[in-house]
Amino acid sequence: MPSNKFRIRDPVHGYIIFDAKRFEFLLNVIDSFEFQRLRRIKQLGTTYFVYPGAEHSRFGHSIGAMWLIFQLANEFKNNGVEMEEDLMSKMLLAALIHDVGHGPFSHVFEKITMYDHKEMTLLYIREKLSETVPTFSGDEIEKLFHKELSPENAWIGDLLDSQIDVDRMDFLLRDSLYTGVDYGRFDMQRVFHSLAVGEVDGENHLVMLLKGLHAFEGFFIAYHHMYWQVYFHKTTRACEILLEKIFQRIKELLGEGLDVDIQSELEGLFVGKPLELEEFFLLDDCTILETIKKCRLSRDKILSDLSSKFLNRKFFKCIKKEKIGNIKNILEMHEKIQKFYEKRGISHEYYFATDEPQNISVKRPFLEEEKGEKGLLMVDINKFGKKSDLFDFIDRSDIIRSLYNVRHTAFRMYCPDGLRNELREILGEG
Amino acid sequence: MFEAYTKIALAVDACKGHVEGRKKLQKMIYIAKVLGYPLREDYTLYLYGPYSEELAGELQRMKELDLLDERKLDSSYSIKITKNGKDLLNYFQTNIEKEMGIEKLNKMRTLFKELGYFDPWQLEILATLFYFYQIGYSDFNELQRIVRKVKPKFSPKQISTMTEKVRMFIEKFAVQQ
Repeated sequence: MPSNKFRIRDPVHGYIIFDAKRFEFLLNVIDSFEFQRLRRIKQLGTTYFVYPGAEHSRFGHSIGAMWLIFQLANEFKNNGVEMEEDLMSKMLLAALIHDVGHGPFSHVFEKITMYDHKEMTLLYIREKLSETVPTFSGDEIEKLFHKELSPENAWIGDLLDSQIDVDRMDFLLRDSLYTGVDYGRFDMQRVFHSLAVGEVDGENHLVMLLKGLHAFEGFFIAYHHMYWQVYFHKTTRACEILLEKIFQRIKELLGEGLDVDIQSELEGLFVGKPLELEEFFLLDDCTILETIKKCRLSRDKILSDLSSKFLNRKFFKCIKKEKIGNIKNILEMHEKIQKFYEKRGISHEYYFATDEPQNISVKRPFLEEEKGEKGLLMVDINKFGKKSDLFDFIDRSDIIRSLYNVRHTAFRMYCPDGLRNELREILGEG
Repeated sequence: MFEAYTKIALAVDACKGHVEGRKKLQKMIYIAKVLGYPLREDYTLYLYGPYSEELAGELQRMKELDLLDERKLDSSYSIKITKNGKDLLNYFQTNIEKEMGIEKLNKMRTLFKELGYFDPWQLEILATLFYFYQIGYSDFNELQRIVRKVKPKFSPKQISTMTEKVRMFIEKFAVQQ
């Protein structure tokens, strides 16, 4: 007898089980070309060069985020929050497709091509989604992303996009598991059972329960650590820099009218020709990797060399400089570096880079004149079920206060391995 | 990194060395980026208005390095380019010229100058219009409709006026990436 459930076994969440008839539309989206493409786009781009296990794809993450929002919505519903079936369906759909507009190696891709994944996702919703799920209009789903929700449903917007949204919950756990970096782990179950819907200025928003204070602390600490241990790892960034230089060189050569053998799907991109949506969805990690393999054989020495370096994991090395004191130092340093490269006949443009990763782990939300996040608000419920007034999470946590609105930065310089020691000496890095 | 700072310095310098506040600068950079100029800051769709955490960090850093000076005036901030900022601009401008070409660079400078004349509220509407234009609302009536919906604090006339500016900016300043 055919099962009326569809099941996906997920390494992070265990069995993901849905009623196949009730949620047939989700299956239709999962089976679509645009969504299946996410199997061919790694969640963490180039990170697998540093953490070999980081081969997981945006496909798994998207389904994971959908599962989390389903679980949380059901939890709230069981606790008395009203929700129509139609709204539940839209919410699941929004969570499922939230990353569909990502390009391959997104971080670099978006810098070089100016294609923003959020904009591409919205374009997909407007132009393609209703072909796959005719029962929903793109407009209805787009409204969730713009947080155009009634006051009683504002919490849905928070679950889709806030500092404690399902996207973040899933990717922290998933990235932690696949990289093997334990810092990303947090007490998901406790967080889960310490979220609620509460009234804030006449709207129903996501609030945290005081009983989950330490779990939420763990969540934000996990976020902070993952950024500095994984996402901003110096070697991951070195790989991204190299990829960027390759793209830059391709762009320059094509701009000069020279012939560069690359994957045909990318050709228009590098000469500034806007892509049709269908063309965009032909791009995946394989497109980029095949292009780099071709570029390794290029007659252009720089492109060939950079491509070889990428494929053989010969990334630029990091010379970390803690701080540039002032403009005089900047200009002096730059002068020294340029002379160094000129003397050796090496292109400074393609064989040197600086990077200044930065992150705020607990942000001050935008309030005032615009509708949006109402802050990281907490409520205490006593054993008699009586609720306290809402208060700011940071008021109860020294740990979170230490991260609140603090911008953590690093400054790094990169050069090929063979130049590292000399360059460090010249710059007084020891 | 230095190129990023140089372009920001150029934006402020183009406005006679002074921009009213970080939000205004955020919108100016965003609009220039949408029009095709090579500005690499990642923008997030934040509550119908584009915002770049990266740019915010760069502005902070430029302040620490005394490339920009920021003063609080009543309810807003004033950002001025310092002498150090001008030195940086002069030093790295050749790099930017090489990257973009002199013609494109001058066009970008003129764009910043013209954007600098708008009040912050006008740029808020303009950036929102450009955001929705960018995601496929290319019919200008539809564009106005959606922006009226998401920015109810502005009148239809204000939005309509700024929609005409979108047309003008695209015709006059849009470049191939």
